[in-house]
Amino acid sequence: MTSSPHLHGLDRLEARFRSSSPLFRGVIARNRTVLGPDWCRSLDETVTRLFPGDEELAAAVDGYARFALDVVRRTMKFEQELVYPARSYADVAREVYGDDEYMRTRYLPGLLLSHELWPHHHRQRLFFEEAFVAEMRRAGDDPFYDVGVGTGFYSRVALALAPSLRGIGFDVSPASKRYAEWHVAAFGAGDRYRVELRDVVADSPPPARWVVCVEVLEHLEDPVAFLRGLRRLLAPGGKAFVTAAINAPNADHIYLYRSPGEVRDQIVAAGFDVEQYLGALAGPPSRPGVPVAEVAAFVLTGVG
Amino acid sequence: MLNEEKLKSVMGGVLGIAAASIGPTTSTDTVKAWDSLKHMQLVIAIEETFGIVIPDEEVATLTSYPLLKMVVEEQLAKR
Repeated sequence: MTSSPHLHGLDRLEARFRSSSPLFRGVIARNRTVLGPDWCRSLDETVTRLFPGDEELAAAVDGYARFALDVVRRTMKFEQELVYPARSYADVAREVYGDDEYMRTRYLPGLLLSHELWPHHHRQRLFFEEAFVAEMRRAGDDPFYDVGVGTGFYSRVALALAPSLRGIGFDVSPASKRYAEWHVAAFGAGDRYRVELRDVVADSPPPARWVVCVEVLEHLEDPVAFLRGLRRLLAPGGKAFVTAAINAPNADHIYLYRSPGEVRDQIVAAGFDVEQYLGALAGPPSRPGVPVAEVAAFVLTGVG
Repeated sequence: MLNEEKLKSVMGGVLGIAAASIGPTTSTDTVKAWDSLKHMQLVIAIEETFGIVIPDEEVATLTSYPLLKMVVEEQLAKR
């Protein structure tokens, strides 16, 4: 028994899961209860804006199902071996980011729906809204940078909540650039946003007051070097929102963080101070003693 | 050649149902416990038991006993 609202987009998504991806048929009903009416309205808007046609919705659900099953398979292996498969950034860039078909049909739709459907991801999004976007709104119109945009989800969330805000995304993947710009435009903020194909560590833009970097660190061989580059992007008096995935195997995760403290130590070593922190677990362990996937999110200021 | 009894035994063990009850109508619609986690446990158990690899692009579609049986037969034939 739930008291969640009746929303057409959400109902379409639930029906699509039941008909074409029955392995995930329970996810909407469970989240309606656990995450509540605000979550329902948010996901309803996402479905309505991004997947208005049945064919688009079916493709997104199929992409999510394949993405999520891949994560489950990798997680089971990780629980046995306790390491990520050894791979270089160049390998991942070629196999994942450079595979346009994979990015378009599986990785990006899967990642996008994971931001909405996975409770720990949803809690991270709420933390971003409350601890970071609210302050951006109050502070005025200084533009933000989103480094490693992926699907553009966090750019979209910020732009939707702050109607006068402008942003620039950075990514190395042409597929991510296209997807993020399409995503933001579907929420009516395309004229306030663009994505540049740029490695911001090797080729830094001018510093910005607000820097967002969500779940990039675990994709790198040397996160500290990257964090130092991110620190250089932050203007004096600015703030950064930085997150990392812990114990979370995925097709493109290279650097294994075993605890939020490891991320925090690297952040401090790179010249940031931690102002706020959120940790959110994916759920209980599958059996006693095995690691659990987790997100760690930080609001940061620059030291000095 | 597929040993159907062995496949049913693996399915029954993972899904927590009697192997003898598994047949043409056994699917995600009829087995409540068959969710994404159980599914991947089932796929891995089948791969280990039969010494095959089920292609990633097919994993999400194998939502009934007949479909699982078909893909196992296909992969055994390729060995």
